[in-house]
Amino acid sequence: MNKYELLLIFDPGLADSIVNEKAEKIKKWIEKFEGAVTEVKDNGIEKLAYEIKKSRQGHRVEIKFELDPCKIDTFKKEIKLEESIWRIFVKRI
Amino acid sequence: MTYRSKKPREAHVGHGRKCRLCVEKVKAIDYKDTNLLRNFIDEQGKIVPRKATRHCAKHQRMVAKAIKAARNIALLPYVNDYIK
Repeated sequence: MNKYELLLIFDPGLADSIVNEKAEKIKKWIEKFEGAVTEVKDNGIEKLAYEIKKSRQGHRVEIKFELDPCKIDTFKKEIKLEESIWRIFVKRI
Repeated sequence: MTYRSKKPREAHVGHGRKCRLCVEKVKAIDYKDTNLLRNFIDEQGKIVPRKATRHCAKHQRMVAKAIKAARNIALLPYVNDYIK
């Protein structure tokens, strides 16, 4: 099991409740892959350094978790299918 | 026989001054720490080269990786706005 940090940028047009729901969904995915979530941090709507989809703002969410290294690629592929998530960044801690 | 004069040697990278991050004993650079990383990019948004920053190879690599990660998630710009 390795420790990872996942940073997501959501569409800022979405309500907070919907973003929370989606974060919960990702948590469930991690648990489905036999991993464990250690921390979830919602940074709220923040300024972006450049435009993404004609918007200067984004809703940033940070998730720290543990997962088997051979499952991380399939996990990333599943998140990328979500349309409301604009950017995904996974880093091993 | 003609005798060619030798060109003066270029100053060695890091000569005369130590790497700032080595002095502070930095072991890892967080890609979310934009206040620190902004010191290492120029006004266009480019990564400042090692000759100018006087970093050691190890720390310059760390800085470059952190900047590239920060650009990926829109914490730092690829190109600054006034140039576009």
